[in-house]
Amino acid sequence: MSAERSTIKERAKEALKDDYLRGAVKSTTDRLRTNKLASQEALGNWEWWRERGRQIRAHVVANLDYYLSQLAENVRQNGGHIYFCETGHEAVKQVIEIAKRVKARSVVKSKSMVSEELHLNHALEQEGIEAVETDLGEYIIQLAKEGPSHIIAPSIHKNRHQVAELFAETDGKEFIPSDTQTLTAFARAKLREKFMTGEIGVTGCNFAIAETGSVCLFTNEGNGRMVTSLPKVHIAIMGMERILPTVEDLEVMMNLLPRAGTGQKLTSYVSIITGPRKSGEVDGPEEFHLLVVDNGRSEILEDEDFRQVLHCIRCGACLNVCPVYRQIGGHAYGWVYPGPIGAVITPLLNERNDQYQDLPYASSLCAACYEACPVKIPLHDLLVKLRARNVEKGRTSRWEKLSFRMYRHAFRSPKRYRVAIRLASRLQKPFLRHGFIQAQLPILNGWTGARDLRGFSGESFRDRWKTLQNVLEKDKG
Amino acid sequence: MKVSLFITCLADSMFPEVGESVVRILHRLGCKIDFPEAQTCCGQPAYNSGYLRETRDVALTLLDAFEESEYVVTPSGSCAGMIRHAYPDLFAHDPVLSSRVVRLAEKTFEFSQFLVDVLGVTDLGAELHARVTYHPSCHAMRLTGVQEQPEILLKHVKGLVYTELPNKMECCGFGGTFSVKMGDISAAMVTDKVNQVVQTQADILTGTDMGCLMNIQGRLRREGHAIEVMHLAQLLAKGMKL
Amino acid sequence: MQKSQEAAFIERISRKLGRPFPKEKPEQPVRGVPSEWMPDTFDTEQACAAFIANWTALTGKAVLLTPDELSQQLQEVIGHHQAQQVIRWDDDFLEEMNIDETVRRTGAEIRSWKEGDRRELLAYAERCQVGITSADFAIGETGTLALFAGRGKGRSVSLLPPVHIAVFPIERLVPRMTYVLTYAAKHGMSSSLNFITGPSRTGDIEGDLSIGVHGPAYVYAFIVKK
Repeated sequence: MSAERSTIKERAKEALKDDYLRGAVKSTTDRLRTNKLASQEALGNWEWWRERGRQIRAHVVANLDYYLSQLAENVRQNGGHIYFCETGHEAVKQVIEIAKRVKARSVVKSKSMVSEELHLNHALEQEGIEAVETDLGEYIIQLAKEGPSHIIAPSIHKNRHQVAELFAETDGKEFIPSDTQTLTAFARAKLREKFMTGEIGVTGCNFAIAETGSVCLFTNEGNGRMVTSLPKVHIAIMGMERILPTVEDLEVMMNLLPRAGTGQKLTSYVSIITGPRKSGEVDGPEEFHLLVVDNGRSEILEDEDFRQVLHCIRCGACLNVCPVYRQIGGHAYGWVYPGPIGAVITPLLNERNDQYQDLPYASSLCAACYEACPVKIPLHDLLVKLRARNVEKGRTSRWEKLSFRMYRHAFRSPKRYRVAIRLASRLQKPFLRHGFIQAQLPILNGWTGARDLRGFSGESFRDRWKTLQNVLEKDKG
Repeated sequence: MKVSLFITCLADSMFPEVGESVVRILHRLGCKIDFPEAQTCCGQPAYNSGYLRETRDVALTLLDAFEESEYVVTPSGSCAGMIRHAYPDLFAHDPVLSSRVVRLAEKTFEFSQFLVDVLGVTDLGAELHARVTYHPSCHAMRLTGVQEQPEILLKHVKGLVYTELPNKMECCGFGGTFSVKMGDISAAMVTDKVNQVVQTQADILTGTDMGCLMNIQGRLRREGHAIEVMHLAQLLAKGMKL
Repeated sequence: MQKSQEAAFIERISRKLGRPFPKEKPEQPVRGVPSEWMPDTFDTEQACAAFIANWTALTGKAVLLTPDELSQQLQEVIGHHQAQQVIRWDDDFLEEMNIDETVRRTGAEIRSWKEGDRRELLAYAERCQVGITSADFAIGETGTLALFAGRGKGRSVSLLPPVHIAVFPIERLVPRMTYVLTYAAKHGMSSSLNFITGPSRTGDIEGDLSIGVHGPAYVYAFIVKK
């Protein structure tokens, strides 16, 4: 995909042409959000839980230094290793170092969004080490050589026929039936071999628990359990903010994360991994490594407004309700994280890269994302704040700056405001037919391309007010 | 009860009849209405684009205009939301303006909210024989707390057949400058909305925000649908023969 | 070298937070779920009924039975899945229930998860059609089994075979997750604590639910009441 140097507007335009993509994304997100609503209702007092979740996440992020240091102590106490990586590059180097030391030929991976930030698979393959994604959705997009288009449903944009073709091609077969049971069984058989032979299991980390030095994984397929049970080495990679103070706090997230994401009471598996296997155990890894990755996150900490975005628990709920995401899918966002959370976190994590600074405009600011967020991140406000930052940093066009300067000049004075709307009303007259502009006007083409535009009224309300007031006075008398 | 009308720049310049309907209904309910002419706009166009300095300067016109008002009523959930949700943050740095903002936010209501929550009116004695659907605007719902009020008012209109809009909580794609800046995405969104409106087989589409209604109407017309679009206040005023 | 990298990393975070590293453990404004979430007493039978309802809703099978009935049910399930090889936890309760004898009566081979050659044991487990474990806890509210890994309690037993059977006494039932997490916090974490809520599943193809993608497709909970 050519995300390089294209704008969100251009990428969206491409995506909008793909009717299948839009149909698939809409029907799956519909299902996810309907399930979410039902399951949050079943929990009772969802608002109370959201507030609890927000408080726990806010406390962790505000004391992140303390909890990271506590986490590190406890990981070592459990016999694991912990690494702090400031950049994605450092994290990749660390994984490769471990892989070379244990002479790994194959790495089996359970879904990790952070590893997508690092382009870890590519780096491993450069070293001649096979990296296999084992989450079914991730496996599909890896075969298709694409990136994920949804945080929890990475292959949401593909239909079963496309998947069947992809699997057939992989296997050198003419045809594979496209029913989901067959496709799932195919992936099961293929990946089972990989699980049994991979020397290293790489996972993400939904939450790390500071007090116990544990890593917690929420999965449905069981691949997360496979890669933490069978290979000799387990490497977990986490964004540095994904911590909870205690195991007790995890229960709050167990109530929020699966419900918000898929509408399940609980995912099929929740695994809490605490160090390598202990003496007497036969399976489980001999070595446990935890990589804590900054990769731009600490820049976000500084600003208290934006700090809140680090509360995110990556459930994907904001994607499922976002009317923009539902139209354009995930790839149009151009980086790892799509949807409203992506439109906020991508420009922040890539602060020095102008290419991503137009993402905050891909929102109608309808606030459905905030309403859906299980930890109450005000994404709609943060989108405005990012736009304000673009203005501050001079990233907006001269035309736009001029427009708002004129707006300010006219609208801060009632007199000039009245003159301005009269003038506008006169200027548009030649274009009006039955009160509407139907022609496509170059500067308003965004609107008039698909819609008629209502014209200004010949007489404004304030022009009519005196007369109206007199009528009402009489009515009273 | 003394009520000041905040007409909003959009209704002022493009939909004056909406303002008239609001005024006539409130007058009928015994309110004394004034229209402070110092008002212009809540500043939302600049705010949504990130021009905060420009927003503040324009917002000050509202603070001045409504300083003495007892209640401020506006036929827009979005502009009410701007005052109630965004102003406190915009002026947080200035204690004097902050306290003025808090006062303004506390006395500002969206039209249907004012009728139901403040005046306690649910039945306006209106009668209108039509099949009607209602689009709840995002800002009215999520920023201003407009929930059941419009539907309550509609359901009390004699002869009116209310039909719920499918997937009504989804944005119509207006979003102010978004609809021009991201025209393609916005057009796709409003096309979905129009399909849903058409599905209801309604004669009239109503709502609490002219921005959204203008957007949906623009698309309805482009597709050649004859569904009438009117603000809730217009619909009620028509039913009350005002 | 590793330590100094860590120190620099944490220092940078303190700096970004705009204050020095906290001298004391920060006070948590709220911790976990509220205390009334875990009453001192609860009704085991009620928790059991909730578990059975939830586990069944997830396509699992759950039955409350006597030790005699257990033997019969086990044979039926093993027969139904035409299992030739079975692996089980090396666990006191399973021993007490004479699982081996029951399984052998069906003609199937059964081995327990004992220390030994890792590669060989994993290969055997992978070949098995059925894995039998006990459960350290079962949670009513969500229909969840809690399995603490440990000596004799291999993670693979409940993971590699397509059929997983959990056999445990009714006393292991609790109404909520809170009891398990509090227990774990108090007694120390095992190397792997797994919560299992139904079969392995995926919705990754068109959001269509598909069972048994990597882990077991068929899950049974046999709750024993003496």
